[in-house]
Amino acid sequence: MTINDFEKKYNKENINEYLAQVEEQDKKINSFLYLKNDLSKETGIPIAIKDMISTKGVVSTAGSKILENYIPPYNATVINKLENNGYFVIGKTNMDEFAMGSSTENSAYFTTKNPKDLTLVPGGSSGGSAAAVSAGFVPISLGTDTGGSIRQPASFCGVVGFCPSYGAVSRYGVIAMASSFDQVGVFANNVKDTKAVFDVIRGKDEKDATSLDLPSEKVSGSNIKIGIPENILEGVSEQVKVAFENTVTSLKKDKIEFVVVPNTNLQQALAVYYILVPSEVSSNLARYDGVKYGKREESNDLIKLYTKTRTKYLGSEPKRRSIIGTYTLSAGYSDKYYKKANILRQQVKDYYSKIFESVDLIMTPTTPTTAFKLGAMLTPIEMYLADIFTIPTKLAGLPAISIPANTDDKLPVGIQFIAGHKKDLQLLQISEKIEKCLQTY
Amino acid sequence: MNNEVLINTAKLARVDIIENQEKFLKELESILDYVEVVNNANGNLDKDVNISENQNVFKEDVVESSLSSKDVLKNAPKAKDDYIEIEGIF
Repeated sequence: MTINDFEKKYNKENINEYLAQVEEQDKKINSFLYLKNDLSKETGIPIAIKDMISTKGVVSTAGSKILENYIPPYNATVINKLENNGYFVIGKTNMDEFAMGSSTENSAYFTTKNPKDLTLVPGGSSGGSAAAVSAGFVPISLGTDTGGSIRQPASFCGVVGFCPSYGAVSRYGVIAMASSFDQVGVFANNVKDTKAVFDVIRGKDEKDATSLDLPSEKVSGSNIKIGIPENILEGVSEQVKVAFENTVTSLKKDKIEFVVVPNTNLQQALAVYYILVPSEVSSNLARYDGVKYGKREESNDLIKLYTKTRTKYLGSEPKRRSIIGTYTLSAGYSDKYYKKANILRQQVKDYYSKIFESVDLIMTPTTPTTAFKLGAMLTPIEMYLADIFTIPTKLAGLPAISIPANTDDKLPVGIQFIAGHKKDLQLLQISEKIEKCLQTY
Repeated sequence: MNNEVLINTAKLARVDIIENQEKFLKELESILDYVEVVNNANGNLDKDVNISENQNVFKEDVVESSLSSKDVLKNAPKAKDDYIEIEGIF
């Protein structure tokens, strides 16, 4: 369902029938943690919001038990912008606890299913938002992307998922995971709807000093040049390989030029990410101490109160990352891990700047495989590898979009297109052309 | 990483991992093994990495209304009058 479809089908008279349908059908998918129970006073387009984003007066848990009864006293900037521009929040979507995971199975509440196949994961961490759009419950939803948390579930669920440049959208009111990576982005059924929502939520916000206004240069309509990193298909599944190659063939017919560009060291990029993110996590999650808000386990000793609260209400992955981050930032180890990782982060940023001197976009698969089985019980490292193509762009804060490939197979495959920093508008403009050419929409 | 370092680090992170110590140790060791490749990094960083590339962000120093303490304290696990309540720290 696109924005246009919604407007054609629903109005003030039948809006609560629509809500009842969503509620009924979501019993199979479990994409919503919270759904409003009356829409009769709402006007505009419904949007589903990842539970990582604060909504005034509506419980916002970030998928964690520690925030089970947290009701934000204010809206995130993105929510205010949406509500002032013809959208209304229909509900909050399920996610991996504090956005840490790639399957939404790390949610402290329940598991969300992939609407394309109920035995598969929807991806994560924004799995609920991806599933809600894929299932046709809403035309659009918001997610957050720290290492691939929008693009990977978009790929698994067969929808468009866009992660903007770092800073393009205000993070004010977005529950923090890793602040130099976190970015709000959009799920939709096509690029046009993605752009419509992005145009509403983007822009500089005084409440987020890292936010910025994007320059509005146009790309020339012709002569699009796309770089493919060498050996990018090494180790990816057969189905992804075929979908990728078919996409290249289709785009070539449309006179898009392809060149091979050097690849960044993916294994190394993943290592950098899994040092820097836990480091930032250990600092950001230190606020959940049972004192100011969220759950508390009482003790007559304050340190014990902190420890008992965190032990009881934080899940395994937040604990694991808090410990790793405390370790990588500790005296004696921060030179070995944190500082080295930052040197490499700068090198990845420089690598991309160099590549984008000669190409408009870089194209890669979004994920190495299609959606995996629910309960596959991956080890942490195996789970981290699901994000191998989406993580490198985050080291440089680049905009990237996952677009469903045209595939004969039942399971969707996403293709990722990456642009230079702050080139979001050009990326979306070319993406519309790509989508048209692939006839996936 | 070994048991002693793990216990000490978990203590600093304010989480108790006694019940799953073996599992945590195994997982953390494999993660740290994986990220070891960063030690191949050459070169120096003379300043922090700046991802948004914003420089010197200023705003006017004007008084704005803020959230009421009544609203904010609704989320406190325990509150009394205008204060959050906690065990004595002295």
